[in-house]
Amino acid sequence: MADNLLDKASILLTPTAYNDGSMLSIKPENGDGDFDFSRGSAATRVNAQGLVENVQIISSELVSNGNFSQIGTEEVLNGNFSQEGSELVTNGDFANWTNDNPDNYLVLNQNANNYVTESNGQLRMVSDNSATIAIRPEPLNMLTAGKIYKVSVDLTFTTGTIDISGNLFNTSGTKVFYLTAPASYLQIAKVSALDVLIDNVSVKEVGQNWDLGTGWSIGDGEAVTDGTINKGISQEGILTSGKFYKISLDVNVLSGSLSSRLRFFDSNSSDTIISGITSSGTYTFYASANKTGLQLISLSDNTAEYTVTNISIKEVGQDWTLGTGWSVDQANSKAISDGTTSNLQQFSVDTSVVGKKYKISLYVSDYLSGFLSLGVGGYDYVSPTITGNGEHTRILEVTNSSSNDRLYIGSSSFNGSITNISVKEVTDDTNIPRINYEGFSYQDSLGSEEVVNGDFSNGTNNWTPNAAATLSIDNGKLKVLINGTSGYPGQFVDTIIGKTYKVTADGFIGTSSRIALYNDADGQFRNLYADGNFNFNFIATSTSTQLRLYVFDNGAYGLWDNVSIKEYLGQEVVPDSGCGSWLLEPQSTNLITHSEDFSDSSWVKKDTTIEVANITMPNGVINGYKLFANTSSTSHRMEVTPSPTATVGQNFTLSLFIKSAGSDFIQVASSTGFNSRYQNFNISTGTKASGDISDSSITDFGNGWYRISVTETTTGTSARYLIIPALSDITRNAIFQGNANEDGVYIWGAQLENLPYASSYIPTNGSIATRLADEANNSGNSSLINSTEGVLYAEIAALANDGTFRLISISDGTNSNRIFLAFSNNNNKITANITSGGVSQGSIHYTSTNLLLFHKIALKYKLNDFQLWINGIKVATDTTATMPTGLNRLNFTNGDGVQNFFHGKAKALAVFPILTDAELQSLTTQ
Amino acid sequence: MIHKRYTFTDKAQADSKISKFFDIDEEGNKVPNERAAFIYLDKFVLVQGQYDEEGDEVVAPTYSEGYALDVVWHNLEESPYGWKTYEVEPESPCHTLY
Repeated sequence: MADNLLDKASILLTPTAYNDGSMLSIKPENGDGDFDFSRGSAATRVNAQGLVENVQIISSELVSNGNFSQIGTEEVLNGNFSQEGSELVTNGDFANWTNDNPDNYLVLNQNANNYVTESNGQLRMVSDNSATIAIRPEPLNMLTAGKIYKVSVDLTFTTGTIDISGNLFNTSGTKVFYLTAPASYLQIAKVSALDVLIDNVSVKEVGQNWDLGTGWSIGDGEAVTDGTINKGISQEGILTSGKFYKISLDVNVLSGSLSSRLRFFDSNSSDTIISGITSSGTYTFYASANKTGLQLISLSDNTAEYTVTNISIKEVGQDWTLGTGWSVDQANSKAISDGTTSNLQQFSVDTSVVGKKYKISLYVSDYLSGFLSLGVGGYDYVSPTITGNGEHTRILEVTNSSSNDRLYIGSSSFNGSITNISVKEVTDDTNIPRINYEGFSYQDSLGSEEVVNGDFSNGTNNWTPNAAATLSIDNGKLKVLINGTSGYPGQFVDTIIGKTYKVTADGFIGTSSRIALYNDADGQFRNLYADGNFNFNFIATSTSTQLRLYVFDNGAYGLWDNVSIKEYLGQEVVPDSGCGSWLLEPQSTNLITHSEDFSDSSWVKKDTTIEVANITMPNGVINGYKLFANTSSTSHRMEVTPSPTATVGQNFTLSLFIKSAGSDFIQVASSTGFNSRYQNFNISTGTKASGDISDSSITDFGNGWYRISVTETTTGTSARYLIIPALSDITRNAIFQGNANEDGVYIWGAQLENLPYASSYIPTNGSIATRLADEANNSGNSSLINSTEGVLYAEIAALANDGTFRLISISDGTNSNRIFLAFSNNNNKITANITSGGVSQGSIHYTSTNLLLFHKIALKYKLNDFQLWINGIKVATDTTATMPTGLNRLNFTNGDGVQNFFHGKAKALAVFPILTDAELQSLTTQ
Repeated sequence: MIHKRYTFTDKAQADSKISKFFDIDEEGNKVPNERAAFIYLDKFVLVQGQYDEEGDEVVAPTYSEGYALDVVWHNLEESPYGWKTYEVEPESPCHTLY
């Protein structure tokens, strides 16, 4: 729409903003142009990222710690043994003296030849060895026998040996040692004739909170054992029985052969082994505690002296109750089941209200065997069960009352890991308008870079020249100088046989006449005769593929840059590249009961097989199914049973999302209840192949996915379609030999509806489901809509030629005074009408070539001047029209707001004052 | 809003019942006088059929008798007058409002 015309609109609606129950107009800003919107059910759309998305109201997350990454606070006290208590010694620096006796010390056995005295702020202790001169810091009960203390003292010897509570010293310096207190006091005493200066006496408790068995002591930030067997270190009262913990510690063997054990500990009962420890290293364990304490103990065959430190215990798996065989790996954010049949549960998940619906999802990895069942409350399970890696989503409706608010994940011999567990309440009764996106641009989806130093930022490294080539770097590019007819540098890259790789490179001709990029997978030389770019794909034939950067002509040089090889994964949507429009659809029912679970028994397979595939589906979830024909030489098909009942003459449309899994073709054949016809689709090229069904389509959904649809009219009383995983462009339901799971198709989102076209996807999970009709009306008022003259403008497209009238009108709330434009019940026909005082003033029409394309339509109304403009052209006029009165509302319906609902797509809807022909042409052109 | 299932003798009776919720305006248009969504089911499966490996029917499914409708009554708390008689509550409704 021309920008300068926007200001003239009194009401302007574009696919921009909405609330639950309203479509919000851009003009006027006060909300008078907003539409009331209702549908009363959930619905899907294609979002701006190209994903099929549900517009149900989804609650916030009900599960706590769903990825098991939460970790609690430290439960162990002083786990690194670095904690020191307060200073116990007063006057340790001997600053205070009274009558030549140090304050706060008891001096023992002092006489003329054995004494202490102050000497330059230090204590001097002198003994002729005739008496045991000693000092004890006061109070004399400052220590607790058996506890460990860090003692520090400065000694300056003239002669002799000194004894500090059993530790002897005879050299000068600062002495630091750990003392297991033999008594309640510290004593510094002579051993022999002595003359020593003592200063800075310090005693602090260490090893707090730990119970140390015989042979254990505290070192510098660690606990040390002399290897005494059956003795350990422990802490009690720190754990909660039943909780799950992450336990870690560092062990260092000093000598001997280590045999120790970490265990949950209770000094009053037997213990529970967590793990044995037999060598140096950093250990991490996860375990469910059944005692309140932890102990590391040396076993009876231990001969090692060793240290331990950094002991840590933190709760993990919070909010979860782990059954037998379940454990939590917090570091890798997952819960693990070892194959035991038991439950993983979370209580207080609000799931006990009958009738509420929940979306439960989780991600499985490391799957080996068994299956999981999901449920809530006491009785409600959801099917199908879960097997295989990938993301799994189930919708569960609570049907049984229960006092249990809980989520349970039942393992039936399930051996694997799960994470990202989510439970959200889904509210179906929604009135959320849909802005649907289409017309996306697509780009290559590529893997990681396989070439090393392809930008030559690391010089010529990783490129090996042949004998004729000399390599150098010239302005950041690789310069290849040739001595001979031709030469090249090459590089081998890792490739996977059968995978496709994309090669890109910049080539510069330099002084040569030709440069060429060669790979030994397809053996082709791709030439450039001037500066340019290479961009091609090859299929790997070996696990190692060589790339050569050729330059030709003796003595010439050429240059290369930005050489790249990446695995080509297909096409993906360029986010936000699509164009949005309001999507207004009629009611429709998906008659297939399991639209995503093709393993369900309602899908009958005849010489075909369905297997779980780890692939991203059109809704962005990783999980899907692969359909393929078995190796029998026969017809192959899958179909939904029982076929829906029908009456003669009804249109039924089957739609499927399909992606190649080796095969480029899929066939849909109409069967019982229809004429026997078929349509093949080429899902490599995204085109229809052979077939005789007249109404079919294939639509690109990116990343290799296509939505295919066929529509047939019933000639009988059922609507039976066959889905045939063809390997080529075969005839209807032909006999062929499949090659099992080597070639097939990925399949998702099956829908069978009683409509002449495929409407937006309606997921089902166990029963057919209905999406109700979209209804939007009641925008504007009499001040925004001029009854005597103006322009009604819309940029709209039809969903189909469905034989119905679909109106957009301005009216007085009745059909007696109205102006409308409509998609007619005649194919591709656009109709406009003015009714005044209950009398039709006449209709004007235009027949388009394709009503499914967007049309810019302007309807000018003025006394005896009624004009229809479409895509820049005045296509119809009426010069005898009386204007209606009392126009005060704009509807996506007839004037009364309750019939002839507009079903289609709308990029814009606006009401203007009268416009000139030039403005109308501009409005409907740009 | 309530969601109910009904079984009528045949489609004609169902259409007749539904027609009561529409008025005909001066132009012959059907104008609804009650906000409701009528979902034509015809038959619904009471007992699933059985099928052989060829996908052909061995035992036919058991369908409901008459002509079934699911109806969403947007503004009612119970079935309207004249509809209650035809209400059914199958054990497995096999239909949800998406």
